[in-house]
Amino acid sequence: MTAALPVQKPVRTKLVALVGNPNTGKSTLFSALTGVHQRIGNYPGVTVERRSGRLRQSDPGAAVEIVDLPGTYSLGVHQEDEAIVLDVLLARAGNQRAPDLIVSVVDASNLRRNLFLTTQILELERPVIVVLNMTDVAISAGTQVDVAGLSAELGVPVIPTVATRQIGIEDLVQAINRTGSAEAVKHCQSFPDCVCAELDGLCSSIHCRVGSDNGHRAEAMQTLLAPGGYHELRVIQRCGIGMAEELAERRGRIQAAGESVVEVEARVRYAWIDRVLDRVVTRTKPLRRARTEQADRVLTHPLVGVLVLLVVMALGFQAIYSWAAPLMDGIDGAISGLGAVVSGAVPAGALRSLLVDGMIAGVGAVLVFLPQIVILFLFIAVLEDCGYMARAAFLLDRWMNLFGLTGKSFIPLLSSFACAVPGIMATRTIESRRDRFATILVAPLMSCSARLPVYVLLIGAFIPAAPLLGGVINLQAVTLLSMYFVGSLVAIPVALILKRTVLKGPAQSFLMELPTYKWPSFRTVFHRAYQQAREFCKSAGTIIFAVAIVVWALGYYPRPASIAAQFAAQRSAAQQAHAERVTALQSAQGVSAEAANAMDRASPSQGFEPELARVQSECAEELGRIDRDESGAYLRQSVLGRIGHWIEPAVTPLGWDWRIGMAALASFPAREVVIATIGTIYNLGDDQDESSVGLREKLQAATWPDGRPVFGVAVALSVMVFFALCCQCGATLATIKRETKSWRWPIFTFVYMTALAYAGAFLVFQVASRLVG
Amino acid sequence: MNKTPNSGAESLEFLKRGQTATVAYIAAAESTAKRLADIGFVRGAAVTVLRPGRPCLVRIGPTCVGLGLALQRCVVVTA
Repeated sequence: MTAALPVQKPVRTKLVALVGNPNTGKSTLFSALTGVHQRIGNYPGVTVERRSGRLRQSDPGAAVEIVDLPGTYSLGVHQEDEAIVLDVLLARAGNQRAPDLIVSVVDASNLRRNLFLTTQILELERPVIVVLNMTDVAISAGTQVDVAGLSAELGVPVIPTVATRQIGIEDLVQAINRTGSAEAVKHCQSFPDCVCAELDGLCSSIHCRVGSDNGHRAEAMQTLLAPGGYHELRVIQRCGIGMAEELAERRGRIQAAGESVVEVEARVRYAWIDRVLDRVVTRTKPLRRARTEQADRVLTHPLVGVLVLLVVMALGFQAIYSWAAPLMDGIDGAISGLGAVVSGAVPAGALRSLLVDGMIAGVGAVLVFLPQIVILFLFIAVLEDCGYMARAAFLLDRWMNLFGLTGKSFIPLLSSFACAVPGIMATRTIESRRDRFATILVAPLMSCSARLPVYVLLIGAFIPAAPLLGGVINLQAVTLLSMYFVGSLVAIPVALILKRTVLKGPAQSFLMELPTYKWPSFRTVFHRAYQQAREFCKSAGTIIFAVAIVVWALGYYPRPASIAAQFAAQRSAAQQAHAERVTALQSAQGVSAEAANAMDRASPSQGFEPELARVQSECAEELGRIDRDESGAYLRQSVLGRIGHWIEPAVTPLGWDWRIGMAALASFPAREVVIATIGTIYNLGDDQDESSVGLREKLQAATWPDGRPVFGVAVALSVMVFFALCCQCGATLATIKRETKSWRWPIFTFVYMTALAYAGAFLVFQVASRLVG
Repeated sequence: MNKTPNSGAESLEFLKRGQTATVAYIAAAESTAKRLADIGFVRGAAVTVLRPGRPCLVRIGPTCVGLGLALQRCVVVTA
């Protein structure tokens, strides 16, 4: 071998982390830097979303990957999704390596609060760029920032941007490409000597105990100065219980020296920030905060504010239902069309049934809700982005306290009206574990959009549209509204009982920053709605797809030859009878035609053509009936049908027959499939949707073996209440498991909601059947 | 008005609308005190009550914060 050839080193992707407070336009900036090519994953072991993407215009040969970290106010925190920030920056999150460059995004109109996190980041001894975002908001509010001055004070590049209008993005891209890993800053706040001594001591102690890649000064600080916090817990876990005692001793010495352990960090940092801001910020007019405070005089008023909130909510929900309707009809039409096309292209048999009845009808029944979900998320994203959501939480805190919850429970519960899955994920902002779990456990009681089709079908079929209050509203609308309230009303005692028993403890006191009002950024809002839509489609494509196939298979198999033979015989008998009737008609026609000729009349016998058409349509009807009876017979002896008969005694007290019981049972994995299941079970071929007159009439005509109708007002109400209260959603249970990290809570939720649904349906049926018969 | 730091001390709960006071200390468990401190509730900070109540709305530094009753009682201020 000769001298080593110059080995082409693989180009190392530069890893850039975006860090900042919530509401600083970080997500908008991320989109501006990466374009549409984003990847969303999870950090190993935790449920925090990891969003990353390629920088759009990196230098040739130097790939740059950008990671958008969750918004946080500080590195020392109590919530998991905030704690991940320090973990990522120090390469503690699984197999991730530490970022080569940290981009700290600050809101120029709220610099004091935002620079707190930045000063913590500057102490990580890594290359840092500070992005001064929302400079337009700051300038219009009368805040002029001396960018060069700020850069000199911080010791790192400062790039002013307006991410929503793409201003400054080019400069930022250049700065990201230019800043190398050699340009690590060394910037430390001057903490009191007693604190520094203990910090140094703690660092070397952690080094000794668990090795030198541990014990970073920043982590040591968040361990020492944030008692009871996430990082303290983690360091004790890693170093052993002796560390707890050591921490207590060190904190004792700091207190003895006259310092406050919990206050010292905030005091030192804010003092430094105030000095810097004095030098670099000039005010051209009084703070715009005055406008926010003026608006808050009305919007946070305990009475007027709540009224405004109610109006906003009413308008939002109105929009969800009225705007979504045409889109839902469109999707519905497209799915039926697809089903028809596939039916035409695939020969009859198991494959066609699987494709049309299983996959297309099953997944289609779910995709229909996409418009409602997108509009609801647009609505929530607008309220969040403009700063109103925090006010809603503030206003409702004392009301939520009455039920043992907190104001922060409001946003998750509101989201659960679209879908409990994002609602449960939104509970992460609630710090207290008990409050958070109580919110998670009642969230599935909110009437999600998947329950709507059941209500629409049954109300249309069994509740008369009688006008009430002089025609302002009708009985059907009142019933629909009541169904929406049933879940929310039941949630109140459930939350109260939970907070008195398994999750005992008072609601944690409210603490929330209310951001300055601003116009929502449409980019951010649409981006969020798009992501939700994508998640929803993904779940429709996986879980619901699988459930649809399983339900289909249980209802399709086994298919004994005896049934096929029996109905084939019926069919040929019917065809034979038809052929005979046609022959008889024709011969009668022949006779009458001869007679007509004999009588020298020009016109053929009257009534022959319509008579033939009538016979033919009767035959088609007869064959159709045989087809339906055949699929009914198959269903009855299918696995699904056998279980249905087996559970019939259990559902009779609710007023249900085995078919309703079976439809309810089959929709436990995902309640969205119930319409398709009812359709199959009622012998109709199952691409029925809720507005289908066929299905509605079939339900009205369904009878018990003794001839009494199955459905009446009482049964319809009983079914609706069951669906309103039952946790028929595998995705929700899986999300609860993920968020609570235990099977205990999803099982608990499932059991209590099923019991509640059964009891509710029983009560409603028994009362209603006595009242209305 | 009494100007000595200790005798005029009261909790944030008793301030009226529009009143401004200075944070004297935080009387709370350490983890709560740390949360309040990071938002800006540190000794010497000026706090203005925008709307008293449960929760109340206060301005601390440039930030508006909603505070529940239990946390209001933790913040001891002097006029």
